[in-house]
Amino acid sequence: MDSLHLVHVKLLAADLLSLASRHTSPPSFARCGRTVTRAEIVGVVVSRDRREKFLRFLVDDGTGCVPCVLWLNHHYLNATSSSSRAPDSDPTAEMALRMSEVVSLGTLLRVRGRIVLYRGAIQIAVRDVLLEKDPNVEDQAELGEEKIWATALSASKVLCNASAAASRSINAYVQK
Amino acid sequence: MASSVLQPGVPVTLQELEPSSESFRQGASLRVTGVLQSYDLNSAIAVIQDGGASLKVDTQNLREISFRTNSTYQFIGELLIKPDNDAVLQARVGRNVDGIDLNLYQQSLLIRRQYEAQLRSRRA
Repeated sequence: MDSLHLVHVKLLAADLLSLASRHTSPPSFARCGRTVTRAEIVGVVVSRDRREKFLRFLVDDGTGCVPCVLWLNHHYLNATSSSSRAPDSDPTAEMALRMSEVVSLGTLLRVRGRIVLYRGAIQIAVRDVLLEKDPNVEDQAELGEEKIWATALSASKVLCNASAAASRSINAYVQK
Repeated sequence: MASSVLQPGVPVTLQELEPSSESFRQGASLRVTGVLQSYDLNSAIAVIQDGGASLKVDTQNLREISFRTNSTYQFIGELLIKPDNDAVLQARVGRNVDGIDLNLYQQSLLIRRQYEAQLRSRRA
């Protein structure tokens, strides 16, 4: 399994929205030849649509608007799966509700979650939401993301070169 | 939610918003940051300033935001250019960003643009 499989990879919206989808079940996505299934983005909430079972919102980081969905249907799931626990005492449901209150127009958020496809478009199924109070966080995050991916790109080039050199050596050995 | 319609607010500095600039076009979705110089309660027009340049921001769609002069604000919205090249940003969202390091912000803008250019050239 790819080492990035379980990691929330820091991405810019433009990068996230242009990930190449792999036809696996569940769908996975590729970035610089690495499998990415979870993402972390930092941006401003520019749209919010609260429904009974979910909250949909858009996070704008200046490079794109990422659709995010925060599920609030834990009560329904618990009602069918477990009758012993009162819905109000479900910590997951409480946490989701608390997170939904943080999501308001104009706030700067750090959002982490699984990358999913909905009607052919990429969105984040939210795991957690963090309200960022430091206005410099977004700039620092962007600098970090760019540095990380510049490193990843050069690392993937090194790996590609190493792999090409290895296959050349193997071919030479086999031909002997 | 009109996710397919909403364009990202591309960050620009106020100095870049001049008629010859690429960002200076009708309906452009932009993100601007500046210090509040004045706010007109009747028209809901705020004037922000940064590095000698200023911009009018129409804040009539914004609620739950209180305006204080000399505080720093960031707005995302669409640019409305009048026939005399007078520009007003019609803000969709806004927030107080007191404490923002404008040098870091501009540095991050430059690096981000270089990175985006790299991405575009790699995809092309």
